[in-house]
Amino acid sequence: MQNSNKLQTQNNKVLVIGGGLGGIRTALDLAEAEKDVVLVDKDYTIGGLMTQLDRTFPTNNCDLCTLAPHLSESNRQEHIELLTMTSVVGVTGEKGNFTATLDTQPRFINLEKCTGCGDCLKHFPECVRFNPGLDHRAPTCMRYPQATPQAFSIDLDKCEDVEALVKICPAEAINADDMVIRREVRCSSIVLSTGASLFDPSELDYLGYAKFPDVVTSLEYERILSASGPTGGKLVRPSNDKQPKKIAWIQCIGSRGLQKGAGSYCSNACCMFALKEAIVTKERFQEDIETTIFYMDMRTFGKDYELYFERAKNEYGVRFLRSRPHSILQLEGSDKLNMIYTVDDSTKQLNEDFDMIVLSTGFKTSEESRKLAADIGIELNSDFFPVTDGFNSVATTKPGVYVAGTFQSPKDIPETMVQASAAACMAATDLPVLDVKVEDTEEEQATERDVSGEEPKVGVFICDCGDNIGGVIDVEALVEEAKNLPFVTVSKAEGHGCSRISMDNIRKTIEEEGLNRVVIGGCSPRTHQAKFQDLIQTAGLNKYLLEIANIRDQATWVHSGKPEETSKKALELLKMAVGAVVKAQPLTDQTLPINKNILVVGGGVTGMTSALRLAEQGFQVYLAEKSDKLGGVARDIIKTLEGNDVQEYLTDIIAKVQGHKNIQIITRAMIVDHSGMPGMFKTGMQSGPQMFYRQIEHGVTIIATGAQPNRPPLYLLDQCASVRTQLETQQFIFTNPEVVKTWENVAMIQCVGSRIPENPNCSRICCQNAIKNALAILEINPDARIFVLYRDMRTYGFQEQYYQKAREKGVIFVRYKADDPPVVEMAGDQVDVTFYDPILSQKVSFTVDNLSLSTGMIADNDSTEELAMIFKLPRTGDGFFLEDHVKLRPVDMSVPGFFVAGTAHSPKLLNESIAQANAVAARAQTMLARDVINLGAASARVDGKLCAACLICVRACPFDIPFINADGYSEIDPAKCHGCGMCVSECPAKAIQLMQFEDDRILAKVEQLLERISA
Amino acid sequence: MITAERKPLEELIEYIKPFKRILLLGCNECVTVCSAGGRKEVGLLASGLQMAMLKSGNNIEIRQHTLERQCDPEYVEELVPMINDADAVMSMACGCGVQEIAMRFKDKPVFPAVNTTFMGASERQGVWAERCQGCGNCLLGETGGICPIARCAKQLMNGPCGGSVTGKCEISDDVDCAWQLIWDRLKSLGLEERYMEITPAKDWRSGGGSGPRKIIREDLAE
Repeated sequence: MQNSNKLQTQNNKVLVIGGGLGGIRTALDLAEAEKDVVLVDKDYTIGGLMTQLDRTFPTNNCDLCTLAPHLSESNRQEHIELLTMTSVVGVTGEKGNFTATLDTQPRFINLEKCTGCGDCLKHFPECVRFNPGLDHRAPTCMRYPQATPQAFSIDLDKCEDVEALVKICPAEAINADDMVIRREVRCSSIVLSTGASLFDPSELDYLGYAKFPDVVTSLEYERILSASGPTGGKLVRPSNDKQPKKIAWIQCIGSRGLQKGAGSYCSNACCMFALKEAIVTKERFQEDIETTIFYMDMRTFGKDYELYFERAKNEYGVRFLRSRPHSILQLEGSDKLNMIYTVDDSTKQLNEDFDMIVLSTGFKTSEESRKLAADIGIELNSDFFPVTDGFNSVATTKPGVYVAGTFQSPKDIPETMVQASAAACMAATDLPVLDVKVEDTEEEQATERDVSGEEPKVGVFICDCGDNIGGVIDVEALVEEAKNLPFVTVSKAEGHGCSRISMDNIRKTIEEEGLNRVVIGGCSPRTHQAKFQDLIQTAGLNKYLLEIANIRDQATWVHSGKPEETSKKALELLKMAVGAVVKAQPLTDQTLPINKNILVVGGGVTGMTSALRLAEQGFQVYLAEKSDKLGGVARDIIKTLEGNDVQEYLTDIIAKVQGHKNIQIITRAMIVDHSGMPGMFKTGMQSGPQMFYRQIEHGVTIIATGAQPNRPPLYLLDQCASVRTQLETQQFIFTNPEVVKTWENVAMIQCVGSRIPENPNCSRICCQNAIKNALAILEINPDARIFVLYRDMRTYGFQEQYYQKAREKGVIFVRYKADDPPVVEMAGDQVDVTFYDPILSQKVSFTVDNLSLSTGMIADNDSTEELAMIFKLPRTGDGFFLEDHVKLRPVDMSVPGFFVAGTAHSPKLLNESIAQANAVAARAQTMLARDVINLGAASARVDGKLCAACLICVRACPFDIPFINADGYSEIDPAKCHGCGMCVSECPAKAIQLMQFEDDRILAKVEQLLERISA
Repeated sequence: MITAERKPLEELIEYIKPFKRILLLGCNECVTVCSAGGRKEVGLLASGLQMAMLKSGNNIEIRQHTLERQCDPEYVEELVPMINDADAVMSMACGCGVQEIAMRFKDKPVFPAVNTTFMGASERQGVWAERCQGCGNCLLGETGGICPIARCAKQLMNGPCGGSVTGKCEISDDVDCAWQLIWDRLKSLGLEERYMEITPAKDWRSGGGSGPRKIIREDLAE
């Protein structure tokens, strides 16, 4: 495919530009929903920025391990055409019929043949690119072992002896005649997920980034922490390779508009990024290291992020200083960095020495992306980010062109994932609806041979993987030794086992010798198991009759200096694999037919949006709403911060939902029972004025139950008529402009009922709400004096511009501390507000005509608790529904078939809820596109004859699956079993086995390994 | 159910020290359910013993087997083919099971691996509590379904002693006063007058006072 210049003639594809995390998610969502995708990336491998991160907040997990399977997964998708080293040079046409011109740079390596063995790199390191990023480790590794495509690329200009280079490749994959290929792709829609660049602080001389090696950016610091980074994970100062004792972070470098070349917006993710780096640093060095974060406002507004901030402060002892440092110097004769700064309640200049200083650099769009945007013809805002629809953040100004991730606006990974799925949803709506299902083109689905009566006949195939294995140990000798292992019929060396030729040889050998078990001595099952499973399947064997001995990663790579011991270990690994495969039994993957109807719980904007998207794709949707009308909290919102008319939008979407033939609306619905499994749920509800009971059958459930406006009895709320919540304030401004005109003083208090011990999280929406209302008041009454009393202003992303505008217009922002909140007293119709002003260093008191309280949102605990119980869904401590993976699966729930969107997930803005609504519609379609669900084969199986019906499995199962059946023994439904193995380990009668991980199979491995001591 | 707890490894090692070939037996009834002597515990103990013996330089052979019910001779008969290969038997069943083995295989030393503890119920996963002492003359009907024999430290028959404080027994704050429980329950059932009836001294003959007990069902026994 690589060298063919084929012209795409159909326009039923989606073009996804940018193969970072977001682009991959979009492509996967579309592909899983059976839509064709062309995924282009200008880099040699896909993965983008995230592959350079060490760990991610708030779980502090390693990224690579969570991302890598996604990357290799994408390679296996038949609906995705992946074009790396490719850029888009032009786009013509319009929605439904675009033509994109793509240029692919020559890689000089045939991807179909390359096995990623690294021989070329070893012999010609100067002319092979391995994409090190910031990694200046020895060039014997790829950027990371799971790079996709798993291949190198050649820089031919640097190569002197091309012929020798071509010859060195054992797979004959190097093609010196490769050239730039221009091709045209026709597509219905385009998704831009080109990502963002990071601000370059070199220009800001006061920070000394260009001068002092110990001043690094947050991404560079990330690389220093990373095990695959330049220091191999050792935290050392770049200047002298010694471990630093004191590290400082400076926030908002290149963001919030104060420096040369900086954006006027907030970069959204940097606060959490710095917190994570400080926490990880503290985790590793504890008392040995001091960490300080210099910040303007700590913007930890995401779901449970405030708790992370609290942990950094209280558990890890990270020091927080509200300050923008003046400068960084290095005094003569000192190797320390000297920082000059002041803090906000003093005018004193402070000097402090640090060993390292990390600059939290913000996001900006790259020149390339801006040019691409211009070529495609989408509008950019003054900060060079795309202008998007006020209620649909992924829709650009050009129909059919969508945008997701950090190119849309600065954001963190979960929000990128949400937008990526939302973009997939929108892009799919532009595709022609195909009635004809493309026939499965799977290679002849060979029938499976019944091997149950046969003696085990094991074939062992050992790779040399170029020099990776063959360079360290004698593969032929290993092959000979493997012949003596029990039940081994054939033992062969297979060069690169994963190459096309070797795979073919293995298949033939299996068929000719009548093998019924296969062992591959090669690399990691994590990357190659599926490939070999597919292979033995084509040879007529059940795919579970396979074991992989990872003699590369676990022997030759890690002990390359000791060939003798390595050979021994390799043999032991093989013995274990042979021992285990003899015990392997053929297993069937569990599959279930899918009911393609959808139940959406919650008729707010989120629920309606999801319902509408899915209905438009032809699915039948049941929309259940607790109250008697649709609309939810949006009914009380008049305009968004950006000035978009919410009521108009709401009226429109309600009409669309009510008029859609595929949507059945059930109002006054109360969910009362639920059963079934993903793909075939049954949910019972009472509905209507008479509370009739009915049962709905559906395959997917979307939870969009929203949250409720908080109303804590604080600051005279509900005691004084001039005290209002921000929601009420907005309505009052709208309905009583003549009263607003008479207001002299207005106060707003932030974080009312949020960020306090009873409700520790940030409500996210209140800062922008206060600014929205302050600006609306000033519009009517420019002379009003408005005080906003806040703790941290969290106007993330482009909201920052409105914060700036409010200050320009004279709104006074005063910070208060949690332990010294403002005091309010009734003064007739007015309210006296007293607070401490840190600039005046004294208490200030004044009388206001209106006091607006930013009360935020809380989970509707009664109803979420009830629903969580009925649906068996997990919740967070504060009552919001909990997603499956906070980072990578932000709208999927841990119970398959369930998705969550909108404020049921956490407090968020209307357009953020809509993005999630679109995202769940895309995620749901990935499930609904299939006719059956494959649940894998790893499930617990009970031997009824051994079972003592002791109930221990019933009690131990975290998912409540086992039950004691009518025959008096435990029964576990394989379709519901998650395969966690909990019951298996607890069963006192050893009556339960986990398929694929049966005791005898594991023990066989142990016995092979430890034979010599059991004697 | 009969509950049991495994004996300390040291004690078990002392038992089997003189032997080379051990048959380690489990039982798939009560001791499985209370996680003391089922197939899993048999496996764990076999490995534990083997390791301990290997460490002290002794190589022993342990064969594992779990019977459906060790207190029935028919199931015990299953052991006939394997008994001759063993020098000694260690049983993880309750005392009944151990004795059944000893009776069937007269020439084999048999050792208990568990301490049979009481007849009880499982309060939750991993917690068992005594509920019955098999007194042979059940009076739960008089005491609101709560047994003063098994659950009162003094086995009092007519109300609590002076050691009942805020519902707890004087022997420990973790032990409920059985009579408090009985009173609460009678009250909630509206049967307070039951409490006023004097129960005469208990006849302990049915509770083992006249020697080992036996049940013979004429209709079933031949």
